[in-house]
Amino acid sequence: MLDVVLPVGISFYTFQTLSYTLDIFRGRGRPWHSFLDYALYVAFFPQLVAGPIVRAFHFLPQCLRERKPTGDEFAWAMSLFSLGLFEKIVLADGLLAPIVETVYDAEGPVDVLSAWCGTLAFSSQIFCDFSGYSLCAVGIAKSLGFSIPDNFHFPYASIGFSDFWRRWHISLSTWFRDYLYIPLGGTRRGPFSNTLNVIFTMLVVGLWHGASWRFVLWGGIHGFLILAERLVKRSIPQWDVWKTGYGKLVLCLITFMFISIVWSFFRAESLDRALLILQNMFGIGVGFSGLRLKNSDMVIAIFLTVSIFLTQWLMRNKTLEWLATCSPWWARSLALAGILIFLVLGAGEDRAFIYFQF
Amino acid sequence: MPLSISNFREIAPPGPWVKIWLWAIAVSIGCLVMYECHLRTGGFRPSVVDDKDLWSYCRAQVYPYGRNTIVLLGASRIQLDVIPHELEKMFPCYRIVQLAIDGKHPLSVLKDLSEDQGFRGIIVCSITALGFNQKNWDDQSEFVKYYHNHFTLDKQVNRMINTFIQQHLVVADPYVKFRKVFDYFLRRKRMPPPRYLVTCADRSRKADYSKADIIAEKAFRIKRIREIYDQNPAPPHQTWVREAMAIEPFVAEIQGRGGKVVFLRLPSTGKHWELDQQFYPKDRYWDQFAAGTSAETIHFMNCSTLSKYNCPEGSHLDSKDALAFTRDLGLELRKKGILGRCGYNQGTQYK
Repeated sequence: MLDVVLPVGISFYTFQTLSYTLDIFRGRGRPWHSFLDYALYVAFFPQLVAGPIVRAFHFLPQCLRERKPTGDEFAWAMSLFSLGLFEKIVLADGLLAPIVETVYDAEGPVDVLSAWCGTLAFSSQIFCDFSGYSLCAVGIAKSLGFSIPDNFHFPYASIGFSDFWRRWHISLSTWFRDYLYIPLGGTRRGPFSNTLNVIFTMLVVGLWHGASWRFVLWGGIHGFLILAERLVKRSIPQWDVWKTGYGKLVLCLITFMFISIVWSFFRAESLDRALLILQNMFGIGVGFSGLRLKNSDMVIAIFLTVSIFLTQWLMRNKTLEWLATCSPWWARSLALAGILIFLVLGAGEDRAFIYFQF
Repeated sequence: MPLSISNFREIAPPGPWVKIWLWAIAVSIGCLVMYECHLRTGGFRPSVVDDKDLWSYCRAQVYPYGRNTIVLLGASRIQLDVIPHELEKMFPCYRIVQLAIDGKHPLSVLKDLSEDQGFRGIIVCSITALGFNQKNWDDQSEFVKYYHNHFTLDKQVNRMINTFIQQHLVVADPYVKFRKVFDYFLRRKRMPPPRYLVTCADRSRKADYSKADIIAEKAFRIKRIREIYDQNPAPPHQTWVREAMAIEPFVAEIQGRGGKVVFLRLPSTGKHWELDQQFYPKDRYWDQFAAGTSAETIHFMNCSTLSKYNCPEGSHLDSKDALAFTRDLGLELRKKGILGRCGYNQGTQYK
């Protein structure tokens, strides 16, 4: 659509400063007394380039007193930072990115299995890449004594697409909810208006990710899926089976598969490539011919995707803090030792964070 | 504060975090030390990753020694056959910079150095007849562009740290990282063997062919060079010489600033050399070029000291021979008057 060079992180700090301005305009906050505090809020380096998008009136009050993390807070911050780094450089860059690149950056068709593995691998890659960054940001901020919001809450354990957007890139989805969807009318002006609001908001969410029709389409499809989910919820019988653990797991799996398929538009370099990969995933025009991933790549893609999905499913109503609190000290030590070893032995080639481009 | 932004990490989970971290560090270091020892016992040696950053880092080193800088250009042959440290020992006041790039012909770097007014040193350019074909001139240009446009300070610092770690620790080599080991294990059902080739921090490479499958390597080299020659038929020698002589302005530019240029044909042996001769006979190609250029030229076949070496796989020397070969090359460069006025170390073996 447009080919414009933009400063790194522009969409993040633009949204932060907009939230400050809009909150004051609507009387939700008063102009902050210190320009230096405001400058720190805008230029706070841990989350400057890829979020989370911090609200001014959550961050600015933290500047009122000197921030000094305790020993425990600092150690916990370093644990979060290490986990984020592990997600980014071991899982996303070291293991998943080469598989995704083989499938998506190739020319010509890929075989059915490889198309699925490549697409599932990208689902895992983008989660590990972005949530890894967010965890690093949260960890670094905490090591300096500041708290910034979580950006992810086990999003692949979502049951439904509305639930997904409550768990994925939380700071962005809540921003759009508070400053676009609700001011447009939200659910207050009847079903037709609400439908338009959802579609419009999701198209803008897509456009926020980049000046390309692929992102707009990606956002539009998510908007359509949210509306379709509401329709299905009203139409199908409320059987008890959907409320059991297995029923929820099936719904979660269906949600995950839809989300993964739609990621194709996000990852492919062009709309044509995305459509070709989608065709290949369903065996249209290629079947088992075309480019084929190495067996080891398929094993890694499937193993990691299943592991990430199951981990998120088991943790869907819990937090990392809960996990750490429940675990004995030696288990935490071993987990951290594993992370450190993998950081040395599992790192891949240097790759920029995917969300740096937005 | 508008609506909810839930779930801030306000409170750290309780626990003996200092103890947790100390144990984690101790366990991870212990495991890494064990893996390092296991690899070294198995014959692995540290190897530096040779990438655009390392090349650019070396490229930036061509200035401090002025005319006493010797820049090595070429491809893998000069990386394996010539040991910079050995040349520096022979000629202590010279600084050697290795700018060869594996698998790529070198003339775009020669052109870049000729256009760099700050460069006044000596270029020893290892090249084959194929390298003079004008369609191969841009082979290394992506490295040149990277150095000029993308090699920023952070990359420089990152590269220095990585080089330091990689030259001392086997576990820092991507070849022994989990992903590679896993790939290899799935294919061969065993751990990967040590590589016969390691890269040093100065970008020279050491080949230990006792660790290689020589027959397979030789067959691979012959197949590859045959394919290259088949896909790129040699032009008539008059055309080739005309194309080769087009590098003269670069040579003139460098020599005009007080620098020197030497074109060097390093050894290939056996079937490989036969193919080289079949497609680009020395007397009709190299010798014609050597007669016309204002640069110095050294062809291994013209020097008894350089032609006595055997390339185990036909194209490169073993590191044991590379040491002696470097000394012989140093003597040859001195004999030609290219090196030697400054600090020639007349150790007994060089007399």
